[in-house]
Amino acid sequence: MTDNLPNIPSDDDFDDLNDLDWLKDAEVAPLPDDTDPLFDDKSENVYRDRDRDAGIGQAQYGRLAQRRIENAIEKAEEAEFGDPNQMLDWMRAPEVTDQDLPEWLRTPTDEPPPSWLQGISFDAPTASNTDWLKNVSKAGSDVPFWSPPAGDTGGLIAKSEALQNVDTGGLKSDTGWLENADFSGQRPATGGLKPAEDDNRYDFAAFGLANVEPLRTEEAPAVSLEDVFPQVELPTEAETSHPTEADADWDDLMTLFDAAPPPDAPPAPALDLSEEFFNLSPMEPAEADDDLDLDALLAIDPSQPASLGEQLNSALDLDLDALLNDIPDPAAPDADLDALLALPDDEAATTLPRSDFAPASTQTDGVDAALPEWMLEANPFAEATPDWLSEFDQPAVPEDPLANLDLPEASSTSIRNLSNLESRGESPDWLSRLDSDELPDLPTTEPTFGGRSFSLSSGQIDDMLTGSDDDSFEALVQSLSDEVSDPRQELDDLLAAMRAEHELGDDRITSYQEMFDSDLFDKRSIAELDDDAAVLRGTGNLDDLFASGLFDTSEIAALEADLPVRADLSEVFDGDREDMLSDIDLSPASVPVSESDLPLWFQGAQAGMGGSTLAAALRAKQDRPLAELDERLLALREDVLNVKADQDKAEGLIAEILPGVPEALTAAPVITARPELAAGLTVTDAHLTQAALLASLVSEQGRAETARQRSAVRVPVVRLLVLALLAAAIILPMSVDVDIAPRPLAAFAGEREAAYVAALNTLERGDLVLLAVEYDATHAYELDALTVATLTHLKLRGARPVVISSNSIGILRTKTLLEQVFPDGANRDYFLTRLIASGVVGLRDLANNAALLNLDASGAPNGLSIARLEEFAVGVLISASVEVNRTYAEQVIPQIPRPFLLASTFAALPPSIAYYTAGQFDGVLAGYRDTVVYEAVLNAAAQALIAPPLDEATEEAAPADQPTLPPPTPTAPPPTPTVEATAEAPVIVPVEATATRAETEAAPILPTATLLPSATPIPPTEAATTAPIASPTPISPTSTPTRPALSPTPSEVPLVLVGTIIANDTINVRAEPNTSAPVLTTLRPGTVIRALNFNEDRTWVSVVLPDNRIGWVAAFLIRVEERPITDTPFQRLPAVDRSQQQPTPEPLIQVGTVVFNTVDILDAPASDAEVIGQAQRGDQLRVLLVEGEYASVVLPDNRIGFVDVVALEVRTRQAADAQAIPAPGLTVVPPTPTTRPTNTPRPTSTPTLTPTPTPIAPVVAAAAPPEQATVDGGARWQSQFFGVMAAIALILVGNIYYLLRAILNRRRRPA
Amino acid sequence: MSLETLLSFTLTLLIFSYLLRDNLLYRLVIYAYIGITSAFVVITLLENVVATYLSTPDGSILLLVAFVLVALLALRTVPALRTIGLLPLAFLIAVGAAVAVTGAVAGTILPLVATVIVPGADVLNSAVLFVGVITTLLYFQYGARRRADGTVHRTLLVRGVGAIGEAFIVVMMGATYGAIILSSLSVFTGQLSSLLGR
Repeated sequence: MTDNLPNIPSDDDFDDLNDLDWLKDAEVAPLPDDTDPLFDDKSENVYRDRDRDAGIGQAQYGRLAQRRIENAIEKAEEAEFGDPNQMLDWMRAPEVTDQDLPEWLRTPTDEPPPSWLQGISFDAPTASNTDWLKNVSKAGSDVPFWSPPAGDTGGLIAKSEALQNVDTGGLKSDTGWLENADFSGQRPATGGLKPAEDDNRYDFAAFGLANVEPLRTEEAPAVSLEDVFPQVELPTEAETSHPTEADADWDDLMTLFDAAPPPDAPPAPALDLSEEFFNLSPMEPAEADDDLDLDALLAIDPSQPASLGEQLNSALDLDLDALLNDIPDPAAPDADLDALLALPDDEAATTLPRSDFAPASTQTDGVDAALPEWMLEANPFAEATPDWLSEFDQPAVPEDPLANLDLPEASSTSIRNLSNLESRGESPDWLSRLDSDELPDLPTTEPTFGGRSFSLSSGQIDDMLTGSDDDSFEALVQSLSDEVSDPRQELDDLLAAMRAEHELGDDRITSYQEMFDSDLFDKRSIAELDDDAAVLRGTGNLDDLFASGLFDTSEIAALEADLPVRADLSEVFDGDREDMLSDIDLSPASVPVSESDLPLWFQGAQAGMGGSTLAAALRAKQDRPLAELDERLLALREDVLNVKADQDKAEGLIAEILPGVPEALTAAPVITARPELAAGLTVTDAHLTQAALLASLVSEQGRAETARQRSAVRVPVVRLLVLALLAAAIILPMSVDVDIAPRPLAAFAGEREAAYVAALNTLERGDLVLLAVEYDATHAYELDALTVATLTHLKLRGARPVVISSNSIGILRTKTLLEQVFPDGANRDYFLTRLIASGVVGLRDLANNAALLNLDASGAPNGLSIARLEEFAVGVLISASVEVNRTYAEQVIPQIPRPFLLASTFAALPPSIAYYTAGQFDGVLAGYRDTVVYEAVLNAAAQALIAPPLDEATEEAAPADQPTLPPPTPTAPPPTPTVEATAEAPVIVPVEATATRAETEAAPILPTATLLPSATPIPPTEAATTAPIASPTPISPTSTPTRPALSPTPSEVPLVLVGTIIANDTINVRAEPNTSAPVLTTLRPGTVIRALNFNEDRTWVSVVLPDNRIGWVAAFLIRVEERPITDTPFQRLPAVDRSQQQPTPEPLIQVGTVVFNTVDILDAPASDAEVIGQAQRGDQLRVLLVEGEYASVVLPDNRIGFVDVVALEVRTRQAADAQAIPAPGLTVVPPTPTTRPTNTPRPTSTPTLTPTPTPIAPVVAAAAPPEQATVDGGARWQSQFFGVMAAIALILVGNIYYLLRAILNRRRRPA
Repeated sequence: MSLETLLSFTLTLLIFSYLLRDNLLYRLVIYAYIGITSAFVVITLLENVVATYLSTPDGSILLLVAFVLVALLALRTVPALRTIGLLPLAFLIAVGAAVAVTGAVAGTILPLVATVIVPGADVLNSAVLFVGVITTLLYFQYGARRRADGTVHRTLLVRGVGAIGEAFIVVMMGATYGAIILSSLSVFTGQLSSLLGR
């Protein structure tokens, strides 16, 4: 027969048994009009008889029947499912009366009901399922097969009502059922299937067909499979065997699919219906059979011998980790969740091993004692609980609490059903038990317990998640999932019931394979189902299932949004984790959970659990015995206790040490990682002192005092006093002429300073000097003078500086100074290169690539062709920074095997002196003092030129009262530049210069030098009109150095300083370089007059008046320049209207009378200097200056000579008397020109140089001042001295003051 | 009094107002100084560096490389491209460090060491230098043991030698401090001398 029924559905294609579509397309045989399809078990015979009688072929008959069925189905679809009046007759459920009940139900009896019936409730789907428990006490015939719903609905639920109660996922939303939920895991056996009975009838109402026909009575035969499928031959008893009530030897569903258990197989385990079938909430009513969802069957792999539930579970493989990993609770990390919720597949597969299905008879002993108390109370027949029922409460409950957590699978099944039904406007039966109102109000993001906000701490969440099987979150999740996991078992039970029915005698259908092989089913639909099943079988998890295209994803998404569990998780943990974490109240006050804090559905749960509510579980967790803790938790507990003890101790200590501080200052949270360290901390006296200070500061009084101090404007009296004293000490010498400070020596006493000058004295004309100027405006007032002095020295030596700088401000200042010293000498007398960028790297690059120096600041060639730094004769660094000094010493100096000098600020000297010691620098000048001495050395040399030419002096030796001097008459022809290139640069020799470093010793210090260079110091801040330095006189390099002679020859034309009055009005010539000095005479604008020298601070210029007197003119009123003496159109002094002048005292001069018989007049203030003349006793010489052991005197030929001061008696006389100075014994030796034999150009000099600036033509000797000679530093030197003294005094006074105050405070301090 | 002198005097007074307290006038001058200096530096760089590089073909190529590096450095302002901006920084730091280290060895360490060990050098100076170097190093080398109570104790020898090194440091720091005062006074007197025409 099986062969004659092709296209049967496969064993696992029972998904849409609730879906009426399959009926629409099913090929079923027509039913006789007068045949009750449900009750006439002879229908098939009737059909055959009629068919045979009417001569109608089976095919034609089938088409007619199919059309009629389709019509009926259309009516059924259009009808309100809950309205029996609109249903087909055969679908209409009549009112159930006692007569409808079977005998065993109808008549109450003292006899206990059959063992299998005890505890079973047959509640029909009603709107008030929560009342089912009230009926639990009813047993046997007292229990109606179902409880009709309110109203005359015939025990049915209207479609609208059913849809209204639909909730997503097949979960109930009414919290009521949870109020009485028992999380103990011992679930009451409620509802379910009626096992097979002798009448061979089966209650289809339990499978969603309840409304078709109530349970038949004894007289009304129960619906049989033959009634439903009249053409199907049910298997005969001989073909199959079924367990009976006595032995309850039920095979699993596989037996129905021709997989008979082996003969020697162990007895089938007792089926825990409470877990497998009514896997809903324990309080769930017994209408679970409505939820016949065969979707689950589609995922079954027939090759697997496990139960359907196991196969479905493994096939869909719910990924709970993915679901629960969204929990952002840091206290419940993923690892914990994994350990809690994740189950290996093998464990899940063995959740319900087949061996557990033991015969009921083998597990009945002692079952009652194992029943929960509530169950015994609720069921008066508990003592007579049938064996199979008692197993419900046996430990047959899977060990793994998650084995039945089939929520997603159930949801998907429900979703699919819902989708299919709603598309046709129907409502599936299983939806009737879904009531959104019955679902619990699961906590949202911020649940409210007992009317007040409650935040779960991380520990609480962890406890919930790590709870045992009988409580807390896990039980909740399982209970929720159990509710929708029963369709699998429903199918098992359905098929088992079918088999049982078959066992009662109908032998026409041997198996369902045969049944589905019949023509009852549409082959095409079945094939589609096969396809769907194949897709489902290929799905590995829920995501794949949803992605299979079998479902309407839009509806799935909509339903998922309302899925209680998932909605709960998503809502609770939705959003940013940080925000959520911040919302978690970790304060201890939020930890205790009282019963009143729990929601109603939790509070009620406690009653059903015998005190094992969530709150109780939480409390139990807190009091968990230590013995139950594993070693790791014990260690953690010990650590926590230690930390808490240390924290308590620390808090107490803080409160003791800092009274009031913790209240005033919010202490930062302290995390003690290592308690032993905290314990090792000690509090010293210093700590206590500081703590007392802190406490006083944060106290009310201290804070008030601090606020008052802040608000009050305090005048720093002490600071102002110090400032005033220091300023007064510095300003005073500038306002009042004082001469208290010891004058600096006129020569360098130290080796490093003398070496600096000596190294520059080695320069020859045309030599290139690498001059690095590295200071900005901040140090300008300290280094500008030093820079000018160095430039002057270089100019005197005829050297040409090549200026570099990595300081842009330094470049700016240097440019200004260069223009002062070398007017119009850019790219000829000096070379200013471009800025060196990149600091140390740039300097290193320069050291390796000297060609960079061949460009000027604008990038144009400057005329140099330097290839290596060795071509420089000397290097000089003028710097204000120690770092710069070090950088040059490290990057540049090693690349120049030439002397390198350092001119630095005094602040940078101490750290930099090490580089001088190490030989990096060959000479060092630093600070203002060295600057003053350096200027003095230069000035001493320049003073040798103050004497005017003899003829000029003679000519101008007119009486002072001469009103008009004659115009000058040149007495010498113009100079003829025919001299050879043997001119020597001036050499300035400090006293110690010849006794210093080896490098400088090699420098030729000419001993025969006799004349001073015209090194006129340059005022750094004066206007350029003063032109301090004589302009370079273009003399051919071949000019022969000449010496001034009494009778100048054309080839020996000396140069003199000439001053031109540039003022717009007549100026005064004063006797001394200050405005308070008497006026000697006046000079008109444009007057050209012989200039001699600047004063120390270069604000006054000494001039030689026609009457040979020396007067002083303000420097800014006269332009000084150097000219050949033959080109000095000295104008005679303009007429001086003495009547308009106030009478002024006659200027004084110094006259020295020779007291020795004979005294040599030297050309230098040195004992080994050349004798240029002799004077006899009584001769009188005009003394210009007495410096040390020598006095400079003016010879008759206007040369300057030096005489030992001990040989002179110096007196002051009126200037008018100077004309009558008797010097009859004075003889002078005409000077003989000398040349420097070693004047060989350096080979490193650039041959392509432009004509080098010519230094002062006459080679003069170094005018080294006597060793003990001093120079007048001027007002600034005095200010410097006073400032230093004031600073030292203030520092001393301040320290003494604070010392005394400390002593006094110590004495006052109590012991 | 010329305008320059008057302006210089006024600015000097504003600078000295810092002695009272930090105030707006002082900050005004300081900010003006910083701003002017910065502007001048920029101008100088443009004239002395950028313009000169642009004047030669080779310089233009180098300048192009420099601008690429600058552009990469500017990418540090974009969070997603901050890593790229590290390239020019790494280049500059690496080159600078290499040059500095090389120069320090050749220009500081070796010459200073040679100062001590050169035969014929001043024995006394060499001895002082040697002692100063060793004791200073020991002063900064905190070879100490920590006791159970958390206090740190150094041996008597280490403390004694360290005290000598500390003395060297004190002298050096004192000399530097005094030198700074003298330099400051020099600048101050120079400024006053300029203001007062002396």
